[in-house]
Amino acid sequence: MIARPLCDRAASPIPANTGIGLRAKHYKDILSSLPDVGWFEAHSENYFADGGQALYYLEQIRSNYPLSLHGVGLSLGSTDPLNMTHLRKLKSLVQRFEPGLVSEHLSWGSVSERYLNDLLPLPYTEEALSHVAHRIEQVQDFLGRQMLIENVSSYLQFEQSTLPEWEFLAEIAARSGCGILLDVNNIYVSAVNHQFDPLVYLHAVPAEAVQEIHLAGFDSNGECLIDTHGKPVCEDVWTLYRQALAHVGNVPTLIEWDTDIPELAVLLQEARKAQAMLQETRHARVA
Amino acid sequence: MHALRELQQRFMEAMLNRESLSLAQHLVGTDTESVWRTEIYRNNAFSNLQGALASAYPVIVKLVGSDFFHYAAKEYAYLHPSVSGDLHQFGEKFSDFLTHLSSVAHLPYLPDVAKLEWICHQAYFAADHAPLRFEQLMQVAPERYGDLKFKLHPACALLESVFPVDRIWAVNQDDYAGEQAVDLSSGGAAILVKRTLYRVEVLRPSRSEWGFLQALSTGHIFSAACDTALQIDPHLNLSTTLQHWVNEAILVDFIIAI
Repeated sequence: MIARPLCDRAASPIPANTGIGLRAKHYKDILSSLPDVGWFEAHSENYFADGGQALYYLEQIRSNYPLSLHGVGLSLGSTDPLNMTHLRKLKSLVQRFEPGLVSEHLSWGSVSERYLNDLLPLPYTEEALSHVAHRIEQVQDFLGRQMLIENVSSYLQFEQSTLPEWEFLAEIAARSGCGILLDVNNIYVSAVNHQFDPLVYLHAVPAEAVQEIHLAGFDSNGECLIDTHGKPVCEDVWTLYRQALAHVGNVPTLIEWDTDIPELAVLLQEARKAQAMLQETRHARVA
Repeated sequence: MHALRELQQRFMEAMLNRESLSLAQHLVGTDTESVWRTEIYRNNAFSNLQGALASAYPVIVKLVGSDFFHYAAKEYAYLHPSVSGDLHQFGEKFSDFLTHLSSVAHLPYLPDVAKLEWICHQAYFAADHAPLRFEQLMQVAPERYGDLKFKLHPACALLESVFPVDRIWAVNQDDYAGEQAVDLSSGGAAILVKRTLYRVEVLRPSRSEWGFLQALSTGHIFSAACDTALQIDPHLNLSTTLQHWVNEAILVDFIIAI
């Protein structure tokens, strides 16, 4: 095992370099090789258990790396009351693991207490804006910390929408005080699906609010691009990532992979690629 | 919040209804487009739910085949939609659902196998607990032994079935290399599920031991549990059994009943 100083938990913000999404399949590889990667991001709900193996591994990994917690099931945009059971579990996880960042999605997944366990798009209206901004404030108050909100991929647009998604996202951040987790792949997927210019989206995002970037791969069903997180990051998305870095500066960047998860080495290779681009931006800024 | 709530309710109805309800009037684009766009979300949602159910019930998947499981999981999701943002909670009523599913009536052991798998699923996520130290027991005055109420490890659970579901479970584990055939007429099983370190195990203690643990787990005092066990097997060595369960971290704590 490579000697590596244990991570000082209380003082470990997410560094401005690349991390990878933590998946159960890689636990043992990570702990036996302690790869040279800046940080890990875990899906919060995967650690909602009272005990057992997943929490054991997360403890081990947290002792060696900075950690970010990324939720997929809070259903922030739902018009149901906030699910307090879910929120309490999230809070105790945050208290236990002291993550550098805590994030969720600009989406909804449940109504009338029925869940689809998916990241469903919102209509971009004034009504939805004030509702979601208020919900984020409630969650931030409950957790006692700022959270990041991530833009999702979408395959449909609501007739009701009166604002473009990028204005909605910027306004959400302004009103709630949340940070933005900018998923560059999701911008690209939605831009292709809804025929808008991804650079218009990118440049409308308030640079100072962006504290993290996500990169992943997508698939196509012939009609539409689908955000499957099952492939390497595509060339167009790498290009858009460079443009994103030019706009927001160096921010922690995560490689996500959720279906057909390959060996850890493949994720590390993607992370190195992103790291090289981060360094280019750093040098360009210094020069 | 009226318009947003109404839209979310319409959307949810469209997802969870067997006849794909049209969302065309709410979506940008043509009617044809709205059909396939809505379908992407239906597929995503159902495949997430089917995946979650398959990971909680891997033995059922093997027993019925993945195509049939896929169908059953979709029916289950229609009848018992997910009620949590944590997908690990999905599937609690799958055993009951299988009991009423006429197309698997010829596999009468299926609901009990599902019950066992859900118990294993819960055991995997259950709280950790420090083992009980014998010294703690030694400090109890011997005349109070009968009044002890023991606590089982949070990951321990007991199940009784008229089918040998522990055998069915065992032969369908990925690492199983023994005899494949299960004799369904070999009788029922009284099963103990426990977690050793982080591995969930399915064990079959003797009937008297099982009765003993069952009595303890339902809050009976030690003397009453001993009576139950000795009625099943008068030769059961109570002190060896107790020691074994403490060593195995099956019994992890106790109180003295007043």
